[in-house]
Amino acid sequence: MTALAIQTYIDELPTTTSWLGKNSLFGTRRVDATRLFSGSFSKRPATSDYEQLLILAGQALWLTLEKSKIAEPTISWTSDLEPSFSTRYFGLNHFSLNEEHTELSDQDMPLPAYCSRAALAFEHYESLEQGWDGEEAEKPDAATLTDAGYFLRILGSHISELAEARPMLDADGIPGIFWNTDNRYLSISFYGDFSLTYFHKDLQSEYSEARTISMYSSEEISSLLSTIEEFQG
Amino acid sequence: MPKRISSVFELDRAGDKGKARFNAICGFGYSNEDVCLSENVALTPHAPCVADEELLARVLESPTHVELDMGLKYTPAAFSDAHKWGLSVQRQSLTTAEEINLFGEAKAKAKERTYVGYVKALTADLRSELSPQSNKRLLGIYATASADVPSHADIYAITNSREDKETVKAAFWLHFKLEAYMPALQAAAT
Repeated sequence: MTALAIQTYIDELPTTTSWLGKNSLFGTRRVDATRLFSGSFSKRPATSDYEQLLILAGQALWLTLEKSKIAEPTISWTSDLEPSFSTRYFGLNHFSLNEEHTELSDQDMPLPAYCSRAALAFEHYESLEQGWDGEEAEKPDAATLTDAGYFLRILGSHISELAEARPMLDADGIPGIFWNTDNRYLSISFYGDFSLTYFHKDLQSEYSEARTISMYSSEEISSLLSTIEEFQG
Repeated sequence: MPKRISSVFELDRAGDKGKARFNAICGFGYSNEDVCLSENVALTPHAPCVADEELLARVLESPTHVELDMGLKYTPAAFSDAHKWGLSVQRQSLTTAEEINLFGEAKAKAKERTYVGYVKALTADLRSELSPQSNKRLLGIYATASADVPSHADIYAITNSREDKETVKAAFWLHFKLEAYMPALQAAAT
């Protein structure tokens, strides 16, 4: 594989597929990661054909990520100078430069402190049985909790500091999170179909909005994240 | 036809997994005018219909097997009975604080729970809640008095969309001012 061949691969990558995959480690932050990663390479000029190849391979991998729905490759680097890639998930084994790799999963991704209580609560909800409220409340479906946890990771990868996300569970077994300040209220519920339903109200202007959006929709999720970002602790 | 509301309260409260009455009301597809008319249908000989200026009290119980920190009580989802067999409330104008407390203690004791106190909201505020999407009323409030509890009323959600359910959660949270009953969370936030 030559540098020219890799450059051709980059140029021919499709441009229409969604980059927000359900199995994403970085969620909607993937583009940011791409920029950061590419930047770390471009800071210093290639000193050899080998390094030029490495840079291009890295760019090709991240561009593939940006345009794909599949999970990220396993990536590690012991120093800035020695990144290594595992390209097996992409059928790009001809790019393999180093067999050493570190595997990460979504669960390895640390959540910011404001998500801790909600994450703990969602774990607790998994153990609840039918009638958990002493009457006839529904047991939460596993898919609802998976979606709720996934959204926390999207949240955590975009916003480092925020007022605490407060957990809730209704009698239909629907988990959610909410925030309430003097001026604003926002709640989000997860129904297990990889969409979410939110209600946002400005308590001063009385403006309110209720919507159901897909977590595949990066534009709608970005818009919701902008709203959430206003709930600073 | 608003008078069909009478048939709702003839349904088994626990029917259809506790949602028989809620499903029936939603099925009517009431216009805002019809909701008002239905709220003025006499459903019981023991009390008049609920007026806008009345305060409604909801007793709070503390199930011992759920934890406050886990968001299992006094959250916006706490009053989801409104999407089921009806949110049971007491009309303050027809009772006293002492009677509400006695009612709460008896209700909690019957379910091996602890009575915590009660919260209040104004009927007009709850009735003014509209769907941001359809501009239709979200809640219906009905006098459901018995000879033993003449102050009893039920609040029902009257639409069943996900967006409206989320809006109703906010309405209960904000109007009943449940924030005050989350001391552990408040302490953690400060």
